Amino acid sequence: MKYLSYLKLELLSNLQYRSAALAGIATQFFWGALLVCVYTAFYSHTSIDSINYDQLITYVWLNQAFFALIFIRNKDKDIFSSIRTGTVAYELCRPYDLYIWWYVKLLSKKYAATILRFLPIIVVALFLPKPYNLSLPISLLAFILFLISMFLGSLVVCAINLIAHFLTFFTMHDKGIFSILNSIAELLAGFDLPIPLLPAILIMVSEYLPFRLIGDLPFRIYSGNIDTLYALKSIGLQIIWIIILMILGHLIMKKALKKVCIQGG
Amino acid sequence: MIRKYLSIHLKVALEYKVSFILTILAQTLSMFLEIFAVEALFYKFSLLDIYNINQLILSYSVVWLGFSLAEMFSRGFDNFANLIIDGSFDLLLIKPRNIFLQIFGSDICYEKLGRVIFAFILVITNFIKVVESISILKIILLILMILSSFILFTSVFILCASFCFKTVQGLEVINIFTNGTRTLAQYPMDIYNKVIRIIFTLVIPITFINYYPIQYLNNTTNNIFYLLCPLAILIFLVISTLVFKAGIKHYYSTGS
Repeated sequence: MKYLSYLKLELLSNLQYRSAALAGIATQFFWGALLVCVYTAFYSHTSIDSINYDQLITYVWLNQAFFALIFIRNKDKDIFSSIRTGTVAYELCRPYDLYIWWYVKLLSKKYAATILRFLPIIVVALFLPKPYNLSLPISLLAFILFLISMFLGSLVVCAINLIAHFLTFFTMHDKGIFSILNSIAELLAGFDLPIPLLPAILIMVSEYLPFRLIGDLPFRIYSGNIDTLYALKSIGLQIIWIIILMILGHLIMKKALKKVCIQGG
Repeated sequence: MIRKYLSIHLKVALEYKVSFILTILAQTLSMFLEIFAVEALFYKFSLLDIYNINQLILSYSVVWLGFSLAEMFSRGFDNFANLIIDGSFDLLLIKPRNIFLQIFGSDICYEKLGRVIFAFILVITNFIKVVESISILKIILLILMILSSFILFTSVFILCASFCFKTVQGLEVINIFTNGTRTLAQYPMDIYNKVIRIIFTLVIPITFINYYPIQYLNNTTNNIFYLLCPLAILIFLVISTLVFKAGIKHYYSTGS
């Protein structure tokens, strides 16, 4: 329960950043338009089997609308600085699980940012002229599955994000490693290109990793690029990955803290 | 004076060696992945029989080379808001040197070196494949292309920096402008429809740094205009410089 009230508290305080959200909306909208231009250009030459034009455009707009939710490169200054300055020692004394505490912190930040951003983008994208717009979900069932997998996706990304934070604790040069890890994760999550547009070998690699479960999966469920059976299977996979990643994160954190506490003394 | 700027910033960068090298690697990787995405898209849509692959790579590696050079040497304009916010721009204004030179010197980002080298290798290797016979004129044209690409992105940075006089902050949105230009410029111009092509010829003259010059390089045309068109970028530079100077005139210090 204490975690839930912490979530609420953090959520409320993060909802204050409205002007940042406005800039975010503008950025996301521009990128969406830009990508629509590029993909329209490509589809005017040929089309491909793995994803059709409408599905891809819908994918682009959903990606922009929920960008704050699926963003892997989140960098939490408090977590970094609590390790560097040693205030983590105080946190460890408190009667809560530090992993869950940080997890909730990241999650609430994501939810607040998303709540402030997604609606305007969705609404505008829905009412754009015909081929360039966000389509409605393929069916009610697909929409429900989309919501479930989007929620689970946010749990996956936070677990990954925390592990990325912990890994940088082992070295003091966080910037480079954090960025390299995230670049690879982003490629396999479909940030650079939607997964269906990647080369076959990378699609295969991405199947075995959790990154595509963050955003790629829900967006493709929404547009009907993935059928119901495969969607249900993937949602099960999301749950398994969340458990694995959280346990893994917990272990890495314990290991990292053992080393860091000596430094922070 | 320029040499002094260069050596000071290099010393700063080398203070933290491991961190510096890792950041270079990270930067290069992110650029590599973006280029990879472009390539993958062409492959997936099997457009590579329409577009000559070397021409394609040359086209966007020129863009990337100019962009990374601009990121490295024109960093002061790229991060101009910081100069205004902490008031160091006021200090620069007092000093009896050219203000542009001082802003260039305020920061040189050696972390982009990996990108510059990687893009340079791509440019050279693909240049050799695109031109069937190397001539002096073509080499001059290549140098012009690289220079004009650098000048173009520097001009975009200067233009964006001018906005800071008005807004003081809000750089986030302006980033779309620079990164958006780069992203769109990665694809060959004839893939887009007319509207975008006109924007990229008349508003942000990106076609002059790769699209038209490459026509000359691959012997599609012998028109001397194509050889000289990278120089058109200078007009863009003049405009953005004027805008920036107008901005300085209306500048009020943040007072800190």
